Amino acid sequence: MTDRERQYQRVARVLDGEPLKLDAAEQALLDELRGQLESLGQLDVGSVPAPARARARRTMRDELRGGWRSVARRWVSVGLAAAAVLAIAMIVHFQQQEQPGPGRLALPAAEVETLVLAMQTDLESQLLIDAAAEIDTLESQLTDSDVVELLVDPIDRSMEQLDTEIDELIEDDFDAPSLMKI
Amino acid sequence: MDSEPLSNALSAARAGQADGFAALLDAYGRRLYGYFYRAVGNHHDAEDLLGEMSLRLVRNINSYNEQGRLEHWIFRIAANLVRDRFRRKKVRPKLHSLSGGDDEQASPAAMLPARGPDVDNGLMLDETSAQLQRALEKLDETTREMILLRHFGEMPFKEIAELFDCPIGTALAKVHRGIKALRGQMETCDD
Repeated sequence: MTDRERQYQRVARVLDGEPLKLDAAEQALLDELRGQLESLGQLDVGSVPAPARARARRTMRDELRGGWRSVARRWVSVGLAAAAVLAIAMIVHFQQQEQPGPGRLALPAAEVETLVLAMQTDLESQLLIDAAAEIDTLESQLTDSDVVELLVDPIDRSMEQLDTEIDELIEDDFDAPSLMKI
Repeated sequence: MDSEPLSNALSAARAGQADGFAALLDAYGRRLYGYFYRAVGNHHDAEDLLGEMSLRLVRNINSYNEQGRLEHWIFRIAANLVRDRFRRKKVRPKLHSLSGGDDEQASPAAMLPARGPDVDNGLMLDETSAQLQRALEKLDETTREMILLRHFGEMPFKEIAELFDCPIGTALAKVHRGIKALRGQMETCDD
């Protein structure tokens, strides 16, 4: 810190009200500064213009009212929230008290859905098992010839029968004398 | 205002009574308005700032802990309002520093528009006052704020130094140089 800076520091402390003993140079600076600071009175702009004063007062008044209004709003909000919670609690309470009577379904939707799905799966499984058993029974009743019969095409079977009849007819004609003469 | 009526006004204000706030406004309104006017250079913004100050007073009165003087607490709020105003406006006119300060860029006052005397709201500044305003606007922001807070807020140099985060001797040196520059500017205008 330079001597000048130290001077300013000590003079500033005196101007702030500290009872320091100043040397001659510091005292001269103090006197000069006091005169300067007094001359700042020229900065004053007089009284506050009426519109500015009125606006400031109005702002204060509105804020004070608004403050109370916001407090009231907050309490009303808290009251409404508490009432809503109470209403929900009462509904839940009364629902728990109400037991399902005979023939009344008192299951939640999710449980019902699970139950239906399980039943559906069981039913499908049972149907598949029954179909397989039926197939097994039919298979056991079929003989080998039945299987062959079922596998041969009906047109093939007709063609085969025609061939047989033609052969029999030719054999009969070779045995006839008229034909031998020609 | 004497300390007792001021104390009563403060108590009433803390109790949420409009009269208490009105009394505080009566006590400090003129100095606050003068500070705002000299800081921003026009009555319109000064009126806005006084309105905002009223709002802050109502909202924050219970945060005043009575450790320091009430007026210093009030002028700290006022100084922050002025800074916020310039920060929002982002107006940075080119200024020629008279005080030789080195912080024109960071200074909210450096963003002040250079304006002539404002005669709206029926308040006519005389020519000397108008010259003083023009000279004030040529100071760097920190120096100007320090001078205004010392004069209008009667703020101790210790608090001014805290507010601007500098040694107490530096604060006084800036004010000293600033007032010299103002006087020099005023003498030039007189010639």
